[in-house]
Amino acid sequence: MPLVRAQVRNEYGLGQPELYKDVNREDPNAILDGVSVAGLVGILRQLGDLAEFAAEVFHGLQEQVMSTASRSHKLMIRVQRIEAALPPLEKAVLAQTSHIHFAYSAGSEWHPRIHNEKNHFIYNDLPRFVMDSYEVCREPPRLHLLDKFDAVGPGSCLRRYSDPTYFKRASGSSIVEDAEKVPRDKKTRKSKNRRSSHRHGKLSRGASLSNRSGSMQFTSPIVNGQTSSSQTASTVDIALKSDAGEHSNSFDSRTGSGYIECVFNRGSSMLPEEQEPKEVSSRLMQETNTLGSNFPVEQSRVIDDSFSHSSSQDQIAPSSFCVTWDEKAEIVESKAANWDGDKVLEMNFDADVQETPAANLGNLVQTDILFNDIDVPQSSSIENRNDEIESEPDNYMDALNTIESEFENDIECHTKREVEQCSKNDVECQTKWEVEQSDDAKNVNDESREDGTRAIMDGNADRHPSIIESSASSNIISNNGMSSSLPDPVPSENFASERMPQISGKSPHPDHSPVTNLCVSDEICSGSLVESVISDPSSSTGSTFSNTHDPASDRIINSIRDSQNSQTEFSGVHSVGLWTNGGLLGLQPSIPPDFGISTTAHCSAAKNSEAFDPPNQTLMPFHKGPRGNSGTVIENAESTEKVPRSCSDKTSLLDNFNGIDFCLNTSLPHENKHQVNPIVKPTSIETDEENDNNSSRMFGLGHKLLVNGFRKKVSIDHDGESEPATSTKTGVLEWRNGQQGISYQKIPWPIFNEQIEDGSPVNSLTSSPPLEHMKISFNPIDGFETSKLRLQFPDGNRYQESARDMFPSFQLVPVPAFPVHGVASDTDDDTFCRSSPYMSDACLSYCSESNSEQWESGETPESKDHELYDALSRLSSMESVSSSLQVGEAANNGIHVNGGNKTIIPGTGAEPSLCVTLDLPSFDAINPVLLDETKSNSGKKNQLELQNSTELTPLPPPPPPAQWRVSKPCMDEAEERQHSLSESLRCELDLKLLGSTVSQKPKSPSVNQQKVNNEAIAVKPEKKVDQVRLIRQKEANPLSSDRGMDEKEDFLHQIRTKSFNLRPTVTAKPNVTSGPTTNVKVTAILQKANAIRQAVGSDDGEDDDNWSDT
Amino acid sequence: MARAGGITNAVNVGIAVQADWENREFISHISLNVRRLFEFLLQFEATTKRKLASLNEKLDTLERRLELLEVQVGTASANPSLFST
Repeated sequence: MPLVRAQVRNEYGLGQPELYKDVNREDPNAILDGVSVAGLVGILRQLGDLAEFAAEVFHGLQEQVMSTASRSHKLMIRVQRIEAALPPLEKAVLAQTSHIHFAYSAGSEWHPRIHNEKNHFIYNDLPRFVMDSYEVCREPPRLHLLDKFDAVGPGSCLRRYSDPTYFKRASGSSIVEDAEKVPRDKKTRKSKNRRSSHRHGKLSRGASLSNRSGSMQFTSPIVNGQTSSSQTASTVDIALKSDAGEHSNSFDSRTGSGYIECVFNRGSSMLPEEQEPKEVSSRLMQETNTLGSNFPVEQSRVIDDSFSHSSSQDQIAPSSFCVTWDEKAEIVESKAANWDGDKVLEMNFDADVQETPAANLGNLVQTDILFNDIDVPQSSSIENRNDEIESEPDNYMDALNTIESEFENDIECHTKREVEQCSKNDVECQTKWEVEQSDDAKNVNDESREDGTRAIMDGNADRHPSIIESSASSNIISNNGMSSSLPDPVPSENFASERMPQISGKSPHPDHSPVTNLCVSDEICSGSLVESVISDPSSSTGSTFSNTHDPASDRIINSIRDSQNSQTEFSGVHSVGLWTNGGLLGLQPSIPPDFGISTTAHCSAAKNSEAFDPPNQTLMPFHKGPRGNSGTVIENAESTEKVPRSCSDKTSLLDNFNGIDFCLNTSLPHENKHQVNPIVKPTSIETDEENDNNSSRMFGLGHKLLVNGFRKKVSIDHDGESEPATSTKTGVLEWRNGQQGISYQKIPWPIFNEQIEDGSPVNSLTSSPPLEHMKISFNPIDGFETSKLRLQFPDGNRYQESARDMFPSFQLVPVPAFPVHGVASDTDDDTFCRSSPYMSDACLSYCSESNSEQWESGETPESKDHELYDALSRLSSMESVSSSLQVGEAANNGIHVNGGNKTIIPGTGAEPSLCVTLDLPSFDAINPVLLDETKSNSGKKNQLELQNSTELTPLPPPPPPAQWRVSKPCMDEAEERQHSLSESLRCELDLKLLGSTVSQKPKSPSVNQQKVNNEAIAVKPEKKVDQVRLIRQKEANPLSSDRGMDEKEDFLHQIRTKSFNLRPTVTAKPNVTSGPTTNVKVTAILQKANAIRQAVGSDDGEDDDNWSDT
Repeated sequence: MARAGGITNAVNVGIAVQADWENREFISHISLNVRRLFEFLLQFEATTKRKLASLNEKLDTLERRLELLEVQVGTASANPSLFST
């Protein structure tokens, strides 16, 4: 039956019938006029109704619109307020050089107070047309006057007349029966959990539950749970069922009745509260829910309270029809006190006699009143009171559960409080300590240490809750979570007095384990425990990283032990070690503070050696963490460092930055430029390509390299080279002073890129500390290039680095006379040649070096086998150096230069396929070079290519640079064919080089290309730097060409004509012979040679003889 | 005369009936329009309330976001050390 929003009655029915009944029957006109007038009157009434309805509608709309307008106005005010507060923040944010640390700042822990509205269907703002039914209904008869004649007690008469609780009781009993079927164990468990969780939730919610506090305070924890979780009726039902299972049916029914009475009899609402109506209330809740109205117990009680205390709210809050009914009854009768008594009697009458005395009732009334206004913090005490007041059966039933749950909750709360207190204490102690340290401010170490500790302190303070939350994530953390959190206050107390205690106090925090490690290391440094530290590196160098890590931590602990005999500190340190292990597992290492501290520890070489060890440990977890999370290592490092940095001074910041750099440097000096680059690059790739597995591989390789670097680093540190690492503070260039010039060059290169990308001249190559840091920040930026490339190349392999490295070299260089060469080349060659010739003379000097470094760097991550890597790196370095030095050669053969580059790339294992494609164009140019210089790069390159073909072919082809990529899809097969062809021809050429130059010329597949190349070479050398090579090439090229022309002019003619024919034939062959392995290639080469021989032989017998001779 | 009177009477009755029909038509017409007004009011109310509800939802969202923003801004402004670096 639809609700009648507005009823429009018949117009004639609205008119008074007297208008046409009282008219003279004989005068029809009068009758008709009367009827018409009645109709008109009805219309007027309809209009009146319409006006009333319209007024109602518009009134409601106006109210809503007004409320909306007020809300919008408030929003506007708030927005304006925020708008006014933003400019300074914006200014401050924009003033920041790097914004990465913001992402890792602790932020504010804020939970919105989501107001869950209850009683969507039972609410005091019921529509008027619904309220009308309540207003129109008749009041119940004054049966309470007869209560004094009824033996049952007050309210019995009225109940006999109409018992609204009957159906609820019936349904409640059925529910109870169902609940009893469930095994009791489950119920108890659920109840435990519910209680604990609910209590916990209640405590946490606190102020927001002010309205609900009344219900929450209803004694038993069950009630608390209900109140907290009352939003969802299901949870309440479960808890109630569990509780109900513990109780007897009779008790349930009894309490149910009592509760119902309390619900509907506002005056006696206190009684049910006393009677532990929680279970009953739950049942009742279910009943009410079944009735279709979300009627949580809490609400009902609150409503009851309101009823009892204020009669004016009776109409406002009709929780249900019965409620309204009771309200009316109460309104009609002012004997609320009698109701209370009646209810007590009723309770007794229904079933078991409640043991709650009447005095408790009065107390409860007071408590209820309090409940309405009491805040959450007070609720706990009230709970205790209520628990005491609770009926004995409840106490017996719930004693264990409540105790356990309370114990658990208390522990949790206690831990939280402790943590908070610890954080506060830490801050306070920190301030004190700072004050103390201020005296020693002259000491840079002290300052830096102070900053680091302060940062750590801040980080701890901010992260305490998060730590506790995350403690559940790992067993270790969970195990240590409680134990470590408890000892916090003690170390914090000690913190003010001693420096060491501070760190130890911080150590218990699980998440900050790396930080603590660093702190420990720092302390060790400060504590002049150089010996232990020195022992650490020695152990770490020989063993793998995991092995090194643990002993290092243990030794640090030992050193701390020696230095400080306090068990608390030691425990803290030990926990730190565990946490570092957790960090290794990638749980959640926050290393940056470590770096900062480590940097602070740079004071002496011995200290440095010590500090280095912790970085080794910290870095490992730190990098592994990103591995799993696919996050940016360096960014994390910076961010984490900056988090503490926020509260620290600039010195601390510098130290932190230096710490990061220092870690990088640690790997750098020992592993040379090769490893240095990999470290940076893989990280950059990861930063931008978090989802890429290949990047993770890269990172893993880089990680290995890092490990190796650390190992070596330790040894170097022993050698006393730690000082250059400390010198990182001064400048980037100084980092690798004693290490290698190549690495030294490499550093400016990324910085240069960074500048270009950022477009900010502020970041200069100079050795200002921010620049150093910028180098680190450069990695992500550099990674963006890779990301872009990857976007372009969905195949994106781990070789993207190499592609990326090569990419700038090809683009930056202007084209020297390439078009001539491009004439004879195919589409592949065109694309390739275009890219290759871009190597400009001016840029070659710089780019070649940079490229060589980059290639080398690219090699390191890619080469899994370190030995292989070394070999490849050597070869590649040879190539790169030669390419850079042999500018003239490169200029002579732009293709050749490219070929050299690409051969280097395969040498690095980056792009075998690319090198093939590149080799084709270079092939022609290689001939003269080979003729002149068998020992030149071409020879090496050929060797490299062969090695690459053998060794590196299994590796997937890396994505070529963007320029090549365009032509690549179409040329994949052609490239393979050409690759095989080029190799075969190359081998032939090599073999022929041993023989006669004359034979070599006919061997070249495309004489035209060779000729063009010769021309280009003749032109190019003029532009090139290296005169010697130019002269050689010039001499060699004309010599070879002249010989060929002189001796076999006809033959060349024929071969030229045939060369075009040869090409398709040769290309067709590779299809059969195209194989990755060298054997297949050898066979392919032989077949190609045979094919060429046949082709030549078919044309001319003499030529064939010559050809065969070769 | 009587017949004439009867005719006139009948004519009068016819006229009266016709007038009554016209009156009834007029009344029904007005009544129909009144009902249409009611219907319009109902639709208007429903539509308006629906739109207001959507607006309120948006306002709720805005309020939540504003609350978050306020907290963030408050935190940022309360901790100038964040920007000290």
